[in-house]
Amino acid sequence: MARKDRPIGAIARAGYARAAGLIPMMLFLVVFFIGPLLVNFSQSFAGPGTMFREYRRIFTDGYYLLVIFQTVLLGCAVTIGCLVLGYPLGMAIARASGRLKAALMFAVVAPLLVNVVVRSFGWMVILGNQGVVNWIGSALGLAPLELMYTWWGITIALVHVLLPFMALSIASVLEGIDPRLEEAAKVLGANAFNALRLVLLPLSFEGIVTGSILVFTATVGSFVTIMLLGNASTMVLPLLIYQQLTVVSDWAFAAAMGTTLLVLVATLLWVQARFMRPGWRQARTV
Amino acid sequence: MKRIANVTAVAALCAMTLSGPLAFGATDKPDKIVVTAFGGVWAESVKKNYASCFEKKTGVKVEVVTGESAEWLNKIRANPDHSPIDVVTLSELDSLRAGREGLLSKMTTSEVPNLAQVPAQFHVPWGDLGVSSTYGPMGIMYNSEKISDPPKSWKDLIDGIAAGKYGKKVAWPSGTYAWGPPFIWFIAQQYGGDVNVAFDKLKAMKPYVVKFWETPVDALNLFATKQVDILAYWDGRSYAFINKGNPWAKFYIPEPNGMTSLVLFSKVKSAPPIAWEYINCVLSPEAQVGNAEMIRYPGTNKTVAYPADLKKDFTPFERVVVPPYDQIIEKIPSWVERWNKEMR
Repeated sequence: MARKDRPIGAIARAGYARAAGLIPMMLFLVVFFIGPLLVNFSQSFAGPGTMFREYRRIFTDGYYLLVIFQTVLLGCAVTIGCLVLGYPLGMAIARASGRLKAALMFAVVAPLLVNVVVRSFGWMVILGNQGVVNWIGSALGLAPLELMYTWWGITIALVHVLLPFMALSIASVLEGIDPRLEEAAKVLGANAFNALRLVLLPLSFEGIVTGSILVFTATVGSFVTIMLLGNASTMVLPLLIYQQLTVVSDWAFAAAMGTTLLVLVATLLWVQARFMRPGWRQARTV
Repeated sequence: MKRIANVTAVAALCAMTLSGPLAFGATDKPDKIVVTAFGGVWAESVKKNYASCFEKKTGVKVEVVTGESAEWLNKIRANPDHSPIDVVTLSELDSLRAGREGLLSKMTTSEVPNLAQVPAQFHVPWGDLGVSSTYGPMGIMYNSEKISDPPKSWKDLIDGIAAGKYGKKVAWPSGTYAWGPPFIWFIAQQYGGDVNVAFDKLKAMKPYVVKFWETPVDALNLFATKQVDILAYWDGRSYAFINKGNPWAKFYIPEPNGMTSLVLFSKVKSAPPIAWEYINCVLSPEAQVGNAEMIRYPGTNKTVAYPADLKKDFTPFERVVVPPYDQIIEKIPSWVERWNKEMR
């Protein structure tokens, strides 16, 4: 029976049944996601002194504002790095087949199979003053590079581990694009660059946005890699939270920083989501 | 606003405890007690030396849970009346915090007879709410191929580093490492106790420090790969590295002494009385020797006689200093903040 022929009561009952199916998932979210967030939020008011004291401390101190800025900047830098490397990689995966595809997929996912501490120590061996990079550089007569304990080293290590999220997001979208569209663009006179710019990039935009969201959120939540490969000048919000919990034991301040980080990420995700709206994109491509 | 915050916290906690673990019943002789241990060889030693002693004496099983101090303190705080842990091992500061929050039981020699053999500095500062089973001071591990005559005192060492005498080949604990703030206190003591001087000295050292390390593994990596020639490091970990075929590395405690780290064992208030026997086992001479053989840190029981190969690597009681944690605990937030802002 077609939906329009069914009585309204039956449609409502079917709707309720579907909604009831969501109850276990909603309960799970309330207990394990909303609940801890509420606990964290309430904890940020549990410290001594006036209301919003911890938030005032964050937003009126130049140091903490700088750390917030550095956290966002690192997130953007790693996202751009992953995009630049991940797009061609995603394209290669999307266009490969058989064993080559499987090999590429494994190569991309491999960094995720290694523990974060072990991976960071690997980067120390590669990027250190006496590491592989500087060893090759000195063999070529180049001046030594200061990569360890700098933003460069941290960015390289994070791009390495988060690249799969970008490459696979883009690959999955590219796989769904009809290759004849690119061929048609070339037949109509577009060179390879213009075919990429005018056809592939707009069509794979959702993969780019998805990958960017995943990489950005993972970066602004990272602290182990930053702690091992950075120093006191490469401070980010998650590392400050870790300090407050493990060394200072100031739970209220840590909770306030956690809430700040959450709001920051949510706001940036909202901005990114607006980029995905078809109306916004059409207005700029017409 | 605080009321709203409290109501939301209670509501959220109610929701969360729906799936929480069942409370452990505190009876005189339970089926098992739950104790904590740091991972790796620490946990192996706890099972082999402490748990086996307790099980043999009481017939009660021991469940060893691994993790770290802050995590265990949080678990006790979350459920103080029915703690999921009976005997907890906490860092010096976390033990003070737990004691101040009324989470721990005070011990006496009638409950823990072996406590009488432990010097006061390892339990009295914590009001007998915790006792350390081991101690291990921070000293200097250095590359003897590069430095033949290391400075005798901390003061000479720090001034030498700040003057660039050893080049940029030094690794030093960060002020944000778990024992970083107490070590800032220790540096201050070398200059009359003024923390401002300690920060000035650390800032002067900074150009010659490859890294202010955050984790011991991170630090050892720098030394083992010879990126640094001088490493301020724990004695047990240093000797473990030296004895693993690295004779070029040497370790010593500069004058006048070394700041020690402790691991404080406490009976959680809601734990059954039989848990005292576990702490008594921890402090027993047999368990202390067994533990020292495995983790290479000396025990705090002064009656213990160690085999010669262990004894040569152990720093005597007289050469270690326990920072006054009860005095510096309030200053730690400002020292950490100062470190973050000034050592960038």
